[in-house]
Amino acid sequence: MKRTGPERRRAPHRTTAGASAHLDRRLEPTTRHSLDVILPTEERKLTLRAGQSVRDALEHAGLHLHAFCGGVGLCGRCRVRIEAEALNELTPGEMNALGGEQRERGIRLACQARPASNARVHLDAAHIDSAWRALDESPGGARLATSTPSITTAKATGIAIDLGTTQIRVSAWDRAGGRRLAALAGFNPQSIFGADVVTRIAAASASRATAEMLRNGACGAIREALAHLRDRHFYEADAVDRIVIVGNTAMLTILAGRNFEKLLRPETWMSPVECLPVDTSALRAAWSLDEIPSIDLVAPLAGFVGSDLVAATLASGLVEGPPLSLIVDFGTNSEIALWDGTHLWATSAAGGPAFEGCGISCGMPAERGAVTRVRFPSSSGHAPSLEILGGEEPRGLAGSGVVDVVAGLLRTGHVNGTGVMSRACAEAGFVLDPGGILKFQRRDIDVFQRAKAAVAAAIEVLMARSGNAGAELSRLVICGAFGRHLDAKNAFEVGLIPVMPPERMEFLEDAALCGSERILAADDPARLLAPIRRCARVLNLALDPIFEERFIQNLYLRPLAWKGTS
Amino acid sequence: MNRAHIRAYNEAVYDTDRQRAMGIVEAALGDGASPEQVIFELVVPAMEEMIRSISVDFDANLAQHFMTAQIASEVTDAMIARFAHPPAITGRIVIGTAYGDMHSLGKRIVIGCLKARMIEARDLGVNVSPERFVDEAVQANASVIGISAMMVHTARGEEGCLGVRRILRDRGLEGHIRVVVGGAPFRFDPGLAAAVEADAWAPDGVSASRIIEDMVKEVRL
Repeated sequence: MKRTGPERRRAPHRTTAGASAHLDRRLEPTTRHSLDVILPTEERKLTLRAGQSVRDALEHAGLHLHAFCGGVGLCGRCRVRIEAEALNELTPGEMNALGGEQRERGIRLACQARPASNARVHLDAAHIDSAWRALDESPGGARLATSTPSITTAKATGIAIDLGTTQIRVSAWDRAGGRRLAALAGFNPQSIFGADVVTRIAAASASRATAEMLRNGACGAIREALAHLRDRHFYEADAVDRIVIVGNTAMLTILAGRNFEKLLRPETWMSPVECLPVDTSALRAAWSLDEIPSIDLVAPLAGFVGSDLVAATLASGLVEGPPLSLIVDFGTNSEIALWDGTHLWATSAAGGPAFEGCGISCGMPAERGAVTRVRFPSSSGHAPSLEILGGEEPRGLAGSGVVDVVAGLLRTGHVNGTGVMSRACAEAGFVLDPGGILKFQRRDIDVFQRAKAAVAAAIEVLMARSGNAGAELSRLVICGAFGRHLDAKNAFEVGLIPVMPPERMEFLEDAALCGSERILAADDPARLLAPIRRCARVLNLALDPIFEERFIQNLYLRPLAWKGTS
Repeated sequence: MNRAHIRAYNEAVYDTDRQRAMGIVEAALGDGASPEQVIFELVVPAMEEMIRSISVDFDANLAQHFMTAQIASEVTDAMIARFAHPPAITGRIVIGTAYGDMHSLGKRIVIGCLKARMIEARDLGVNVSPERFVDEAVQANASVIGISAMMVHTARGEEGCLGVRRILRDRGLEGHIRVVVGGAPFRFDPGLAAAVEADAWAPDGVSASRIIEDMVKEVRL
C-alpha cells in the first residue's frame, strides 16, 4: 500500500452488540473515512467507504467531475491532488496518464484513487463547472447567418442548437430581423459518461436509468443555456416559436430517447436512423415551453453521420461552390465531407480524443489555461513560447497546441517521421513550460498519430471513392473550436490536412450553428436541405477495405501530399 | 547468427525500415545462415526484444508495432519458400474481432507475428459471432481462439468473450480450446479479462503472439 504519511496500523472494528466477544465479520460495519473536498470558495466534508474511489464519493455528493472515458482511468481528465495517509497503488491507467512529477505532487486520477484513510481532495471549477460563455461571431459566420427576414410575427424568435459530443452551442435568432441576437457555448455534461459517442450509447443501451440521465444531462444543459440567453441577452421567452436542433446521430438519438442501441449494430450503419422523439413533451417540460414552439430535430444523413455535418455544409455553401471542396470537423469523431461537383461524399472517422486535448498526458480542452499555440525557438536551448487562453498559468495543451508541439519536435529533430522520440526526450518527456508542468511524452505522439492517421485516411478514402485520388482541392473548410487556433503550416508538416495554398483554407468555428440558423430562418427547411440530402453519399470507413491501409501509411509524420497538392 | 546482423536487424525493425531489414536478411543468408536460422535467430528474437522493451516501459508506438508484424510476416513468407523441409506447424488458432466491432488492425499485427512463430492463424474477420468463433475453431482443429475487442461494450458484451465461453462450456470444449483476448479495454482494466472469463489477455499484438505460442504449447502437452 502506498503511504503518504507515517504508517499506522488500524485496529479492527469491533461490534458491541450482544455479550459475545467474538468478532463476527459479517456484522462489521463498513469502514468509513472522511473525505474533505477543498473547493475554490468552500470546503465540504463527505464520507468515503473503504474501497470507494474518490470520484464515486464525489458523484454521490453531486460533484460531477469531467470524465471522457466513463471513469475507467482512460482519459486522465479527473486529475486531482489527493492527500491521504493510506492510498491504493497507482493503477495502470494512472501510470499512463500521470507523469512522475505529477505523482510526486500527490496527483492521482479521482476515478482510480481509493483512500484507506481519511483524505483531502482539491477540486477547482474546471473539474466540475460547465461554464457557458458568449460565442464570438466567427468572421464568416455573421455573413452566412444573415438571410432575408422571414414573413412572421414581429417578435418571432428562433433557437438554434448544435448538440455536439463535447460542446453544445445555442443561439437566439431574430426571425423577423434575420439576425443572431446572442449565442453561447458550453461543455456537454454528458462527458461524465464518456468522451466518445460509442461509450455513451453503450451506456444508454445498457440501462434505462443511464439513458435517462444522459438525456437529462443534455436537456439540463440546454435549459441552462436558454436561461442565460434570456437573462443576459434579453430575448423574450414567449416569442420563441421555432427550435432547431442539429447533432451527430448518437447525440440526437439520446435526446430523443430512442434508437441509440441501433447504432451499436453494424448492420444499421448505412441506413438512416429515426431520431425524432415519440413526442416532444419531455423536452418542452425541461425547457419550460408550451405547445406553441415547434421543435425540429434535424434528421441525420445515415449511420453516425449527423445533421451537424448537414448544417455545416449548408452554412459553408459547400455544394454551391466549386469541386473539389472539403469540409472537416475535427473531434473525437471527426466528420468529413467532400463535394465533387455531383455528390457529397460524407463519413465519420473515430481516431480518439487527441483533437479535444484529451488522451494526451498534458492535454485539456480549449478552456482557460489551455495552451493554444506553441512556438519553438529557432535556436535550441530556449524554451518554446506559449499562447495561453485567458492569459493565465498554463494548465494543459489544447488540440491546436498539440499539433504545434508535434510539428516543432519533428522540425527540431526530437521526433522522427515514425513518431519515435530521441533518447534524450524519451525518458522524461519534452518540457514545454518553465514550471515543468507540461511534459510531452512519447506515448502522446502515438495518441496524436492515431487521431491524425484516421482523419488523413478518411480524406484519402473519400478522394479515392469519388474517383478523385491525386486531385487538387480548391477549398478546405475547417469547423469547430480546434480550427480556431490551428496553424496551417504545422498541420501540413505533420500530415493532418492536405498541403494546399493557405488562401484556400477557411476556418468556421460555429459552422453547424450557423447552418441551424439558416434552417430556422427558412420557410421550408426540407426544401432548403433537399439538395444536400439528394447528393449525399455516406461511406462507412469500418466497412471500407482501403481505409486500414491508408490509416497505417498515415501514421507517419510527414506531409499529406499527392500529385495535385502544392 | 552473426551478432552484427542481429543488432542491425533490430535497429531496422525499430526504425520501421522494411527495406533495410530485408537487406540484412539477404546479408545474413549470404553469410551462410539458413532460412530457418533467419526466422528463429533473427526475426523471432527481434519480436521478443520488442516485447521485452514494451513490458519494461511502453517503448513502441503503433507504427512500430505494425511494422514489426509486417516485416516479420514478409520475411517469414520469403524464408519459408526456401526452407529445406516444409516447416512444422506449432499449432493452429482462429482469430477475429468481436461481435459488433470492426477494428481489424490489432489482429492483423497478431497474425503477422504468429507467422514467424509457425502458428497457423485462420482470420475470421470482423464482427464475428461467438457461435462462429467456436464453429470455426472446431473445424480448423484450433487449440486457441483469439478475440480482439477495441470498445468496452464489445469486450464486455454477452456476444463477446462471455458468449464464446458459454458455448465452449455448453459443448464440453473447455479443456481443448483456450481463449485469449486483446484490445484497449483490457489494457486499461486488468480485471476485465477475468470478468469475461478469458484464459489470458495480451496488452498488444506483438506480445499476444508470444502469449498465444505459450498457450498453444500448453494445450498440446
